[in-house]
Amino acid sequence: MLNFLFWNVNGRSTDQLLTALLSERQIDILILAEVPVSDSELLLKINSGGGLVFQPTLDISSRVRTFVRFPRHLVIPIRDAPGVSIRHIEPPGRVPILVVAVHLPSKLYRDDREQAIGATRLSRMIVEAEEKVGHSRTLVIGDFNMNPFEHGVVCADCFHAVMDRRIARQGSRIVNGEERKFFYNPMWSFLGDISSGPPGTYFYNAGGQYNLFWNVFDQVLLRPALLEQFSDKNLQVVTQIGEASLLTDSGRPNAAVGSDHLPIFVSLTG
Amino acid sequence: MSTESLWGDLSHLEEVKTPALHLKEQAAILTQSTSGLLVGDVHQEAQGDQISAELDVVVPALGDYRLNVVRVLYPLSIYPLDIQDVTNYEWQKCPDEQAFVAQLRAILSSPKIRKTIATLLAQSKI
Repeated sequence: MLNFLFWNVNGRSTDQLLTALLSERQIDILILAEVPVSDSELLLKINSGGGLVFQPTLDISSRVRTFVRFPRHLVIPIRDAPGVSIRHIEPPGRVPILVVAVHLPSKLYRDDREQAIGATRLSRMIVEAEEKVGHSRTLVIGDFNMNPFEHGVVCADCFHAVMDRRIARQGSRIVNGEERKFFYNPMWSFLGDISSGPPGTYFYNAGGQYNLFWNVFDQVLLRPALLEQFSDKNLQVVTQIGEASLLTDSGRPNAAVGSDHLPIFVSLTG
Repeated sequence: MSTESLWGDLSHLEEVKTPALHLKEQAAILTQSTSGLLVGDVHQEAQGDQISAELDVVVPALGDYRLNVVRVLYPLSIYPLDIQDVTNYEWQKCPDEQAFVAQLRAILSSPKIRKTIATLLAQSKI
């Protein structure tokens, strides 16, 4: 198993919870957004419990940071841009994968159209990175600041992420004469209160006419080449760490305990 | 009867230096100053009704690892433009060329970028 955890900690110090979560879920690849401390400070804390030892990778953007539990030489930096960190990771005994960690611009600063333009640009970066490493075993994980149904996630020129893995398995489709590769986006299944977890990963009461209340901004996307290693039960929105609940009594993310975002956990088999 | 130009003298137009050209100059300086251990690379593309120009540092010794250090978004009229600093993720608005150059200088000579350049350079010399 190769275990991933993403958490937007919202600038909060969550070291104890995080350390417990890393141990509980045996995390191999940790991706964090909005960490309030330096890599070295964080590593001192999360490595102090013994057991897991995380290494930083070469990120200079404070928006998103990647830490791994294997020797650093197994992580090849491919590209960094604001809010984007692309790494080629060669986990011991496994085929390499391309990991794209993202923390995309907030809706507070960019409108939907600008978010979609940014997603188009990032989509091209991912394709370039896949061409460079020679495969498309690609996992994208992070805070997209967009829901799975928004243009920037769905459009063929953007992430082209679909809700049905049978469609994703087709690999690609031709749109306006150009080939566009699919991602599978399992996070569609986490929308609403009939889903297996909470109704989303981030709650925001925007007021006004159009108010979703719950959002699934925190997502993981998989290229078809990784689908054989993915199983539904290995993707969870984390609401509990040990005895601590990350939710309030009304079932919303409890920022006083953890963060206003809930962590997402995904595991690849094989 | 010869056709009269109503354009005035087109051979003496004011020279306009685009933000992309500014970035290309800085890219060339980085490449030259580091003897090619770090390579400055600028790419430009249309994004909606704007032009996006980005300055990346490419590290040949690290398999052409690419780090974006500055991104500029500008309309056809060029100014006012938006410039992004990768280290703090913030966008600044520059009303004119002078403000743009000042902001570009502030980003490229910032302690975080200098430290990153030094780190990448050190790793390139191994």
